[in-house]
Amino acid sequence: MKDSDQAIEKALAGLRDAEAPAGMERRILERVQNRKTASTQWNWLMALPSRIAVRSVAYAGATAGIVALVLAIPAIHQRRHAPTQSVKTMSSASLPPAPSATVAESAKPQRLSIVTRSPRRTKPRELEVTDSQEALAVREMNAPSRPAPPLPLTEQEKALVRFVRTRTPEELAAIDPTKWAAQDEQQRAEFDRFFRRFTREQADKKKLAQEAMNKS
Amino acid sequence: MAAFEGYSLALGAMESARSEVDLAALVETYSALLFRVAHSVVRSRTEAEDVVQDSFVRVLEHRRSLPEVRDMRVWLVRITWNLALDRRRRIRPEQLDEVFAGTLAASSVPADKALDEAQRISSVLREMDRLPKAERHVLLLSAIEELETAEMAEVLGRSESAVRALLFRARARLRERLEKEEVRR
Repeated sequence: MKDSDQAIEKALAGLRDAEAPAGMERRILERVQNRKTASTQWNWLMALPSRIAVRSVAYAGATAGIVALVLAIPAIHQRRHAPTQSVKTMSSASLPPAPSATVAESAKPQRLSIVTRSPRRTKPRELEVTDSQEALAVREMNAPSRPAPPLPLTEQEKALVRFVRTRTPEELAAIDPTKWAAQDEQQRAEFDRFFRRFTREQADKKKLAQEAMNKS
Repeated sequence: MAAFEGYSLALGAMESARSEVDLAALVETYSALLFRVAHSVVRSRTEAEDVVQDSFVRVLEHRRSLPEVRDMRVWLVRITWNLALDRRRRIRPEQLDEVFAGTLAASSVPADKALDEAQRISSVLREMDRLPKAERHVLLLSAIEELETAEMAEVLGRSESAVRALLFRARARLRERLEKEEVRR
């Protein structure tokens, strides 16, 4: 009886004293976390119908936009690949009066073809003209009309810009020329006052020394 | 709409953070107890750990009903207990019992005595498994020595007096069977 009791107690103690493996808590939390992530994704899928209901307006708008874009693409394509040279008719009356030598020739009705610039071309296409006067007019017309690019900043300007961007408002206020002038004036006055007094004192001392020497 | 979505995402993140904290606290507090509960049934450390993990996954699945749980400790023990019983049916308990009995045998004694002791413990475990179900369950839960009679009664769905009686009968029956076996030897 004693042996059987001991064996029972030993077996029960073995069950009672079982220790959890090291890192079990961490592993449990990781697994729970993975499971939670998976269930969150599943919940998102389950909640999709309600989200769709909420987003239906947005989806309808987006679909309409896409349809409009699809319809617009062929039109844009056609417009791009259409002949880029639109022939405009210019009567010679709109040009400056021709010289007398060429009056006879120019008396004939002329049709000048002006080529409009294709949007994809970087260089304007030269106009097909034969007359020198017309060529001059066309050259002037084609002359660059854009303003010249600004000159690069000088070193002083760069330094000023750097100063303005980096300094405090107090320091910026200090570079006011009137303040500088007033400050310079004040310093100069102090300088003069000091040296005037100094020279006067020196002269007095020299005078006293001279008098003392004369007395002796 | 983006604001609504962001709001719902923020709410979801807050909820997940709160449940994460709760789960972490639960794991920290109860994992050792649940491991012993599972181990008393499956008698394998790896299997017991799997059971505990499954228990906390169940907790995660029922996290919405967590506030309604009256006694978290008993609730968790009951989940683990049932999962361990399920697992015990799927594995081959005889082999695990032999391994477990071998680990319990004293290592300081000579090999022949250790083998004899391991066989005796193995026979105890075997006889425990042959006990009536109610008695076996009460005996295993009492072996953990962390659960009061009332808690065991709640886990097993019986009254406290029934648990006490079952425990007495289980010990008496086990002792009797072991003595008969020794006499047979």
